Amino acid sequence: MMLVMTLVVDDTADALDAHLAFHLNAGVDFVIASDPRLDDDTKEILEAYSREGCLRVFPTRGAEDTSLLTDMARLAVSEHGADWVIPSTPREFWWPRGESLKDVLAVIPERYAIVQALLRTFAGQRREGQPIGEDWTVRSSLPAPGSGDATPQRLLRPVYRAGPDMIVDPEDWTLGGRRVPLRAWYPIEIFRVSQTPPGAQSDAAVDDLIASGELVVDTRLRDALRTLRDARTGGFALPTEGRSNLAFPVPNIVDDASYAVECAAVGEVDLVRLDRHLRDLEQRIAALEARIWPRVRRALRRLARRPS
Amino acid sequence: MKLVQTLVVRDEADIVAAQIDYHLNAGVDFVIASDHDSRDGTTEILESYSKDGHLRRIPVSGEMRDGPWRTHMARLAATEHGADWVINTDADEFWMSRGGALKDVFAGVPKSHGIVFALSRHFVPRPDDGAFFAERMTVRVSSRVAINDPTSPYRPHLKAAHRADPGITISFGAHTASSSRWLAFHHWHPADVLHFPFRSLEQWENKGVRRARGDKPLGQYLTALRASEGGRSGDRYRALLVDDPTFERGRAHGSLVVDHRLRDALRAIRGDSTESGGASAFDAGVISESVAVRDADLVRLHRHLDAVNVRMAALEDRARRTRAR
Repeated sequence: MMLVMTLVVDDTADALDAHLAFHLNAGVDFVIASDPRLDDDTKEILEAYSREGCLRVFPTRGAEDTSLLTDMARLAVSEHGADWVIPSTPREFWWPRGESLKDVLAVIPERYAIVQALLRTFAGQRREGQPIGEDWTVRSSLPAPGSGDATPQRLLRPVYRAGPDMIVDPEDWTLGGRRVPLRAWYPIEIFRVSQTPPGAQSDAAVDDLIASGELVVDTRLRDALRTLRDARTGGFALPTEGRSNLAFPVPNIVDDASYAVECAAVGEVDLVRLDRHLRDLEQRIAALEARIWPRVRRALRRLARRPS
Repeated sequence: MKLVQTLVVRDEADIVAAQIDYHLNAGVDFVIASDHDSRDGTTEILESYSKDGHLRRIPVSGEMRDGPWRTHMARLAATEHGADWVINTDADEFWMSRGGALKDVFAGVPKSHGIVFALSRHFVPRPDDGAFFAERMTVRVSSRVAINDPTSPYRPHLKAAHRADPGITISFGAHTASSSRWLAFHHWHPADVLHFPFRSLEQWENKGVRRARGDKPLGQYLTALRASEGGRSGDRYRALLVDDPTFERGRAHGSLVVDHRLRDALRAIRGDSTESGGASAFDAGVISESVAVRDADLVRLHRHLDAVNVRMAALEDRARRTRAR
């Protein structure tokens, strides 16, 4: 199984090194990266990983390139034999709920073409001289069910089963229902680290939010980066001879039962949505019938007129 | 009333005798078993019940064909064994009625209805100290929310029982039954199915590897196969095991509960105890677990609809191409 990450480098370079090292240890086999900003710092990091043979820089064609994600994904398939493609930014850390990202994706039943990952937003406040990731220890909790301001898709991100003609459309993952997503269970979590540290929040305010349940202490990402970081150079370790330096815990039944509550809170499946889905399907059937029956009638008339 | 049990089994020598003994004591009159190429002594166990006149063994081989085999046995129960009611089981499942004996419960079903569903209650593997599985495995999952992970052995589901019908069709896993004669009672679960899917490392690995190559390779079996191929079975099985600290955490969280019913019932059958196990007292978890099954079914329905959607989109695309020509 080949897992490729496509990466569009956004406006900050500070997380890039940690991001690449983390995912190569989490089961990603190869990265295709595009850097529309042509920044010297990121270029240097990308070139270093490219020299290691685990990354390829995709030529950039400007920030408005709408087919960039699709083109990178197709390259992942055609030249790197991808079975799954994860489209990411350097601020998103994809955390498997299993031994590795590969391990989690390998057992997804064939009928699902999209696996959705659950977004967790970390709000860090990096202090002077602190290594990257040390402040990523507090994240927002999921909105309460029915709070209404978050559609399920805002809380989720797609991973795609790869195919030669695949299209990656950030606005329509299923391409109008042409791909089946795995609904209501999210075997990967995404730790999205905030782009600008919310310096306005004091430690006391954060403690209050933790006490109220709006924020949650979660040290998994920080601990993983500590494991990978070389204290002497500040760099991060890559897998050695294909062996990861990270050990992701496999959730047990108690973990899964807790996580099920969060998955349910996303609210992706309920009677209202099911009803909407069914009505949409009915309308489409009606539209097809409206086209098909006149054609059938015309064909029958033609047959009837034909001399026997 | 004659109650017949069907059973699909392959290499389950550690549990099959207890399963048959339990059901014969719980009111089952006769067992029909499809024995799928067993090589671990299961065949000999089944033959011993056959000699006693309690069981009909049907040897089956080759690729697993779960639904057709279950359907065949359920129809035989009607046509050749005079069944009134049929329960469809696996070797790791124990039907326990909720209030009264199994036969009493089925006798209470209105004449217009003929298919009912029992609620599966999944027991978790506990550390293996060499004791019999029912003595060790007395903790089960009681999740108030459905675990919709397609690779989890603990997804909520139901098992079908039905009045005898020579035309009945049983689905894979016996989760549904369809009959032109009988209506189904969907939202009343007269019995629990106490389910013991994984009991030891060896059994988990053997079952997973075998089933992953079968007719419906579920994610839970693929996980076992991958672990076995990678030489990581021990590590992976440890993640499934519920040790004492995990149990305490689960009990505090409400996702794990103690349930001695099968242990007590089997002790009573062996004459080791006067406690009968058997019919359970009111169990608050059954309400939330019934709701979880309903939620899980909604998710299954939505996933099914997604698959229909793909077919629909393909038709629309074809129609569009035809118009363009």
